[in-house]
Formats: sequence, structure tokens, C-alpha cells
Amino acid sequence: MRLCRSCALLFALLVLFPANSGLASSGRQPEVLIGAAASMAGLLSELKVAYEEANESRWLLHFASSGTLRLQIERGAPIDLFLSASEIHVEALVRSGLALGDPALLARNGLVLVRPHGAGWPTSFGDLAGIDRRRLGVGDPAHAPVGSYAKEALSMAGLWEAVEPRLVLALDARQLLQYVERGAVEAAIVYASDAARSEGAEVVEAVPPEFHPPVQYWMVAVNRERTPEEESALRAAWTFLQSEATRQALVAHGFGDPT
Amino acid sequence: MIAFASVIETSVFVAVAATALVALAGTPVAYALARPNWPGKPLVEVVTNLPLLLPPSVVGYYLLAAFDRRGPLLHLLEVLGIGSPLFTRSAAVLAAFLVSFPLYVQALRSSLAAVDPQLREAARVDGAGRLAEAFWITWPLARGGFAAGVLLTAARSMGEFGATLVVAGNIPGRTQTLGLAVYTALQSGEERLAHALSFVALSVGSAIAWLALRLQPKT
Repeated sequence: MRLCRSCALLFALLVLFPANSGLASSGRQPEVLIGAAASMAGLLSELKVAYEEANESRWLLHFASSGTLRLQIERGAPIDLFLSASEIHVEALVRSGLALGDPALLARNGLVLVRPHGAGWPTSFGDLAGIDRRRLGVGDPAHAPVGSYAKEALSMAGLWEAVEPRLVLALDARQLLQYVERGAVEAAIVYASDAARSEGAEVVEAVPPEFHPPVQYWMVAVNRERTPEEESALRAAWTFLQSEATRQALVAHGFGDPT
Repeated sequence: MIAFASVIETSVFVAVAATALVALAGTPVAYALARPNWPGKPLVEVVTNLPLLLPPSVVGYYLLAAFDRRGPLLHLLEVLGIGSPLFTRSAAVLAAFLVSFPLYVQALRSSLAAVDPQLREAARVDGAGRLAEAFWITWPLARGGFAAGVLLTAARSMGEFGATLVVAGNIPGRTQTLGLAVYTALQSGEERLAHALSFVALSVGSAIAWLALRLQPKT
């Protein structure tokens, strides 16, 4: 019986927890919850500061993978804007009727070939043909989009057969950069934005864009019930993310201008 | 520095709240499980240990499904005038509570079971009621297990990642606890922040381990 009483008390405490009011915007500024990948954390934190200086409403940032974000949106999590580099997830959201309006392009990214700082090889993308016993780091094409882009580019350039036995697969861009910085691989194919913030890796050459599909970051609003204040906050956030200020910040962080 | 401070604040809040709730709910369960077989005991054992066996993100997924906006639980909450706990600190506390619960119960239950039943009987023979016996006899002897359980819970709550991410979100300033913060900092290239946070985690973990040792009854 003590068990039952404690459980009841526990349940009451949990649901009446004052922290629950963190979501209620009663009397406070409306909030826009933006879901994006953790790789955009630095960029979005900066943009948040700029946005909140010019607007009444506030941004809440939530960092998770595209797959997790989409799952959460489908389950009713209060996410307002979904930022993703995955066309698959964005399209799935649109198809499920959870998108408000059409997706818009937020940013582009490039693929670059990098090597450890100060290394002598490779000097060009074509150098990979003579990879010999050296190692090339790429994302795992099964899990990381950066890996499937790399695979496609290498195939299109006719380099796949030469490098395939010498590939080192990484789970994500972060791991790839670590491999390069520590010299575990002699070269790697990463996003331009990741290379830009790495001190231990230097860019050899941009992977010719004609060798792979464009790397695009999308933004889409989520269809949910909103108060009029929340609606105008969402519109303000949307406009801000499509503005020149955002474009400049994107370029500063190594992303490509979407226009 | 603001980012750093808000992560610490969030982690401490969640850890303290989750630990309090775990101690509240887990103590009677540990007591019950420390006693010899009663009907339904195996079921309670299994349910209590379930979060230990599931990957944390699966625990988070089930919580997310439980609070689905079309589901009965959310409907009940709305009737009570409370909104959805998804993506609030309540959810972070709930996630930490669930994954830590089995740890606390195990720790306390072991030390309760180790209390010599003859001592308890002697107290009852001398006229102590159940509460007095629990307070004056059992508690001082089982104190070490309680302390270990509390510290384990606090540590586990601070580092909670998978379940929190799914049901409470990775929201700096609101639900981004230490584990989530280190991951996000690494992913976004903020290595110095990641190292600073990891150092805090290491210090806290060491302090907890030291405290747990100190609180063991000297035999």
C-alpha cells in the first residue's frame, strides 16, 4: 500500500512540476522552436542572438539528427521549424501533411578534399588515383550523407576502384576531421563547412561540383496549432533565416550561399 | 561562459529533481523487494529493471509515444489543465528518473536485505512499531546503500543523453544537460567547450565516487 501511495504522489509531483510551465508562453514572449543538426549549433547560436536583438520573440534551439527530429515532429513535439540537409526526411514530412507551406533552401555546402596540415600529398583531387598504401577517410555511405556524396563523387571521377580498398569509414563528419587531424588518414572528403573550422586539416581542393548532387540544407515550417502571436513569430523567424544577415553568417561559417 | 553556466544549471536542476523523486518512489519499492516472496513480486522486479535493459533512446521513444498528442495520457493532462510535458524540464526529469530508478532500487534493496532480521525482530519484541523500527534500526544499517543509490542516481541523471534527447529535446538553457552539451559542442567544432564540460563531468564523477566510499558504514 505504501507503494501505491508513493506512486500517486510521484505522479502528481511530476505532472504538476513547476518546470512544466517552461512551455507555456502565458504573458511571456512567444517562442519559436528550431530543430537542427548539432553541426549547425555554432551558426544558429549566433543567429539567435542577432534575431533576438531585432525581434520580440525568442528562439529555442534543439539539436538532433534529421531522423530523430522528424520522429519527434510526427509524435507531436512542439517543433516549429525543421532544418535538415536530408531531402528524404524533408520530403517525408511534406508527404505526411505536417509541413506548413513549401520547404525553402537555407544553405548549400560543398565537398572538399582535405589533408593533415602541412602534408605533402595529395595536391589535387586527381592525385587520389595514386593512393598506393595510403588511406582515404570518408563517411559511411550507409549512415552519413557526407559519405554517400563522397562515394558518388569518387565514382563519377573514375577514382572509386583505386581508392575503395584504402577507404576508412567514419560515422560522421566530426570523426572524419579527427582522423585527419590525428594523421590516422592521409586524406579525407568532408563538407566545406567542417573543413573551415578545423585547424589541423587543410583544404587541398574543392571536389568538382559536377561530380555529385548539390548538398542542400532545407528549412520547413511545421503544421501545428498556434496563437496569432506564435504565428507572427514563426513568420519573423522564417524571414530572418532567408535574409541577407543569415546569408552572411552562413558564408562566414563555411556554408554556401543558397542563392 | 553563458553556455557553460546554463548547462551546469540545467544538469544540477535535473539531477536534484530526479534524485528526490527516485528516493521518494524507490524507497518503498526497495523495501518491498527486500522482503521475502509475495504475490506479484517477480513482476515488480522485472518492471523495475526494465529501463536498465533498454537502450536509453528506446526509453525516450516509448515516453514520446506515451505522450503522443492523440493519446489518452495527454488528453488526461489537458483535462487537468496541464499541457504536454514534451520538450520541457519535466520531461528531462522524467527521463532521468526512469533510467536511474533501477539503480537506486538495487542499491538500497541490497543493503536492506543485508540487515540482520534478528535485529529487527528484537526491536519489535521490545515494543517498537514498524516506523520506529525502520527509523532506529534498519535505516542506520542500510544508510550506505541509500547513499550509494542517491549518488548513483545523481551521476546517472547528470549524464543522461538518449532518453532526454528524444523526449525533452537538446535545448540549451532548458533541457540540455551535461551529456548532451558535450556531444553538441563536439559536433559543432567547439572543442574547448567540450573539454571544459568533460572536465566538469570528470570532477563530479570523482567527487561522487569519493563520497560514496566515505558514506559506507565502517564494519
